[in-house]
Amino acid sequence: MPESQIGSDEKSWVEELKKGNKEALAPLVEFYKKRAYSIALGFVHNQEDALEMSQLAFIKVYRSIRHFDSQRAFFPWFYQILRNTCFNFLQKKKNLKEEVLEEGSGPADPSIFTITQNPEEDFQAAERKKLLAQAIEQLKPKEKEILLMQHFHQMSYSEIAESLGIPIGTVMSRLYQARCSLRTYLEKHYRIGSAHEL
Amino acid sequence: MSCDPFHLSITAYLDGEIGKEEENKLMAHLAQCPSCREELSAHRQIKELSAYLRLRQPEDQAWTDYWAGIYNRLERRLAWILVTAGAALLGVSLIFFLVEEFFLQQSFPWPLRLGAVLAVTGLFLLLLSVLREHSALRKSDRYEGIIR
Repeated sequence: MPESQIGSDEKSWVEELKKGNKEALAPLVEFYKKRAYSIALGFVHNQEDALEMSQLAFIKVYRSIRHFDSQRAFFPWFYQILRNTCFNFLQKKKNLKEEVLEEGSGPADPSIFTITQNPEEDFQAAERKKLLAQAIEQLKPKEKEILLMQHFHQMSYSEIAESLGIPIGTVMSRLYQARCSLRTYLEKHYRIGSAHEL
Repeated sequence: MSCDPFHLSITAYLDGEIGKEEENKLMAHLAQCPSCREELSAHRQIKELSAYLRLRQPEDQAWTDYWAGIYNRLERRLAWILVTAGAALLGVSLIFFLVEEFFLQQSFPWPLRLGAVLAVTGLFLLLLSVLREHSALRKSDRYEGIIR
């Protein structure tokens, strides 16, 4: 579907939702569910929780749609709701862990990534991909979030800026810093000094 | 000339977010700056490498059930409101009924009458408390306040 068509459909779905038509949520969910899940996964690091949080965010969209200004883009607003939903969940989970579990006794979260392997590629190429996944996981939260938004959620700079409430210049500098951190990590762990051989 | 301003240009260039004029300036700078060329190459490799990573996806069944999960919860919320409103009405009616038909009847011993009325009133207050809690939770919902 062309982007302009999606944009006009999205506006009409939002208008219907504002009128209280619950069914209008269905196409919005259908259109954004995979993206919402992926974003949530980046925050909560668990597939089941990511599904739950993304669903909860859609329910919150339905309940608070009357506050949404239809003149603005829907997705950055939705992103904020989803992000806050995940942060609240993580805060509750952290409190629960502190109350119930001894520190470090729980199993480590699995990687949020799967790696596309080429059967003919050499060991080094596979190792580089694995290292990159590890490098992304160890980024500072702000760098990781912005990198996921740009690389994996296909968000434009203006969408990222609006979603996070920051200037585009800050988006660029965080992305630059994130890539520098990845480069440093890869060079350190791959034991290669030259950037050309990353 | 300092390379700092071009670092952000390199980022924008790689992401296809650079303007024509800025791109021309970057190209001119890259032509005479090996350090920035190396930076561009390293960041490009990282971006290309990240194309081989995919965020872990759930089973297909999860997508099939996805909308139903949302819809059912929206529906249940309405059902819950109706049930509690109905229960509240029943509670009030029961208290009136007990006071009129039971508490004021002299044929039952007074401790029995008082105990029954206290118990029912307590249940009603509990019900009210649940309703108030639910209402307070809705009012303090942070996401309802997000206005764009």
